[in-house]
Amino acid sequence: MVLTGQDRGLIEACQRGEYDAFRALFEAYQDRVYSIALRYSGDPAAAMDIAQDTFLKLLSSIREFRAESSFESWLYRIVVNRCLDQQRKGRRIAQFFEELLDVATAPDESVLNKILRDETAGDVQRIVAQLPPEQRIVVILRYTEGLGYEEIARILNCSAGTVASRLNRAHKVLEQKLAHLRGVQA
Amino acid sequence: MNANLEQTLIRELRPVAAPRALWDRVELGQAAKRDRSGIYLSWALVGLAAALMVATVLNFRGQPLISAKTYSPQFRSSDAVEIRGWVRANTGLDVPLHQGAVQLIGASVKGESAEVVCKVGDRPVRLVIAKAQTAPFDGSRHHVLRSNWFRGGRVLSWIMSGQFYTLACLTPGDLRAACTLCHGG
Repeated sequence: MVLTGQDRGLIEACQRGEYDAFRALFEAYQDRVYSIALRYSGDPAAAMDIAQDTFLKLLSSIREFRAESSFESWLYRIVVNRCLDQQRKGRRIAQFFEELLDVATAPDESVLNKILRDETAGDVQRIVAQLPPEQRIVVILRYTEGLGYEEIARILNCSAGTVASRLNRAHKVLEQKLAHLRGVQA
Repeated sequence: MNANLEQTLIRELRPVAAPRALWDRVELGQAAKRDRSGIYLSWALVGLAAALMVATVLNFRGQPLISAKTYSPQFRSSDAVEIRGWVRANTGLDVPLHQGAVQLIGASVKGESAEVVCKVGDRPVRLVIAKAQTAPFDGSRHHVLRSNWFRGGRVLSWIMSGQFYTLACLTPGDLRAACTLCHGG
């Protein structure tokens, strides 16, 4: 992405240590950062931790950012690294298997249908949360942020082919699990 | 891939708005960094502080971090002055308690550590206090050491005025309310 003059001015002001500029940058990017963190972690508290860490890292290292590169990619890299760090800390709370068991042991078809109808975003979020980290982050960048393969590859420092391969593997898992729970079929 | 799956993912993984509390969290983190910036913070001291934190919290364990047992303090009182006096008399620790926006229940002591228990609504909050051995952290400002989830509760640890504090509660909102324990309502 090419920075607009306003964004460039904000970043330069941040690099000079102007606090108001940091606040403005925060306002501009907080939803994106939090969305990635939430969709990745599946846990609002963990997402807050990730988003907080991301902006603190942004503030402490903004002087290292070079204007000729993409600010968004740079910021995405920070939040992705924070997501992966969070994963390593093992703080994600996954309830998927318990709920899957509830569905599988539901007493009759009508109850099962009701459960399936009532469940919304939670299912998808939990199933995505079961993906391996390298597949999950690709799914989030693709579907939460709407990024292309090349942009995701730049952020993750890998090839577009690797991105495609990870996404393909993730799709197969998601298709299988979501088809079972929600009837997502071709 | 099939189009239904793609549409489902786009819909269910759509971006969301960040909570308004996020800015407060970022500011809190910055304040903690600023507090630490003027201090020589050796790894040995960090290790000592961390060990002290764990020891302090675990001294009061034997049950989940937040549990029904939290409601059975050795000294039961809803008066901040009484609790402050009892803690000081039994441990030498001076905890600047106020009535605040919480309902005080009482306090317990174990060795040289004290625990003050209270409620925000019907949810328990625990504040564990111990003497800090880390002299460079002296001063009246909060030097935040840790803020995260631990054994089912929200835990915030800091050192201030030569005392080590660990606050445990169930929600971030309770954490904010619990600040009034010492900072008034």
